[in-house]
Amino acid sequence: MSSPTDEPWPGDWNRASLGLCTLAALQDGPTYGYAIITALEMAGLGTFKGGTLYPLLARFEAAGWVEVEWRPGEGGPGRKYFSLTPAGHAELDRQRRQWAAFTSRTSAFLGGPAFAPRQVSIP
Amino acid sequence: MKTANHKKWLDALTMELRLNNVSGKSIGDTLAAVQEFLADSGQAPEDAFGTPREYAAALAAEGMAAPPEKLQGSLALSTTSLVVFLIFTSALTPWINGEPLLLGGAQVACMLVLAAMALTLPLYLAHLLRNTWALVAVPVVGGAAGVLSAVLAPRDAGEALLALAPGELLLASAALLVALSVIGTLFALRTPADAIAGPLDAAPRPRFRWFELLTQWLFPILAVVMLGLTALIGAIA
Repeated sequence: MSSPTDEPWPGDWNRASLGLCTLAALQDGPTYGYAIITALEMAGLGTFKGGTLYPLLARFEAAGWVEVEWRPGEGGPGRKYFSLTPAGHAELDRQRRQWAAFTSRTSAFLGGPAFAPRQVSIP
Repeated sequence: MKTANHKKWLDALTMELRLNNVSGKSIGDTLAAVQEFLADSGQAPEDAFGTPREYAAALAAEGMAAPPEKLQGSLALSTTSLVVFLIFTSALTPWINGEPLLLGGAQVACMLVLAAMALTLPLYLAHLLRNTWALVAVPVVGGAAGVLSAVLAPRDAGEALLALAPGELLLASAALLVALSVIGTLFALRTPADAIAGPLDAAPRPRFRWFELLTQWLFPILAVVMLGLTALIGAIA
């Protein structure tokens, strides 16, 4: 599932929201790369590649928002679990508030009187 | 087929991460995460991560790369040692025979090409490793310059552009080889071993790296061997 018109979301929108959505995917506890991508896809946000997600998580790790723990797997290479640090939770809250304000203003602009041509009265 | 393709892609990624100065520990972590993701998604490496070069560059851009001193530094030392070693060996036979070292103009040009190729290797190493044609072309051009330089050696002092005192050249190049080896040894002792380690592997026990230190003295050892051999051949003849 993607957008209501079954077209993929514009790439720019996905790039803009992926960081915030990835932080949100980690808010309920440690999880791993493929589970994050699956969660985003199930939510209808689009299909993301491992090659996009892992560098983003490396940036969050360098910023101190995310910590990493390797857990042994069953015969496999093990699993790399990512979890939010207290700084990561704070960043998620901050970005979530900003996003809400931004999208409500964008929606108001798109649907409200700002979009209609203004009546200019000439004396 | 699938595993062979995965392995080839992972090998290329390892090389690209090394070229981006990513540490062995981070490379081990990256390889394990890629394998985990591919096992989960069932995707081909190219579909999930793009080309090894793009993915390594994306990770390096996110702060995974270390300062670029190690690879380029040790490579520059090796190539300089090689050039000095070539000067040493070219002065050896004239010195044993008690003759000046005669160099022709074309010969000097060939030697300069060879030296320039060796000394600038750190600048084009990445290009060399990524392109098979360059990996073939560079040794061919280098070998041709070496052979030409030997063929174009002047037969007598009249043909020579330069007549150098081989004893002084020998002493200077030997001293330089020893100095470069000392620098190499200090460099190797200062930088920790950087083997690729998986995230769940036990930390390797620190061992004294005899072999790595011995390789720093390869050119002085070879120089002594060449000196012995040339003296022996001279004595027999």
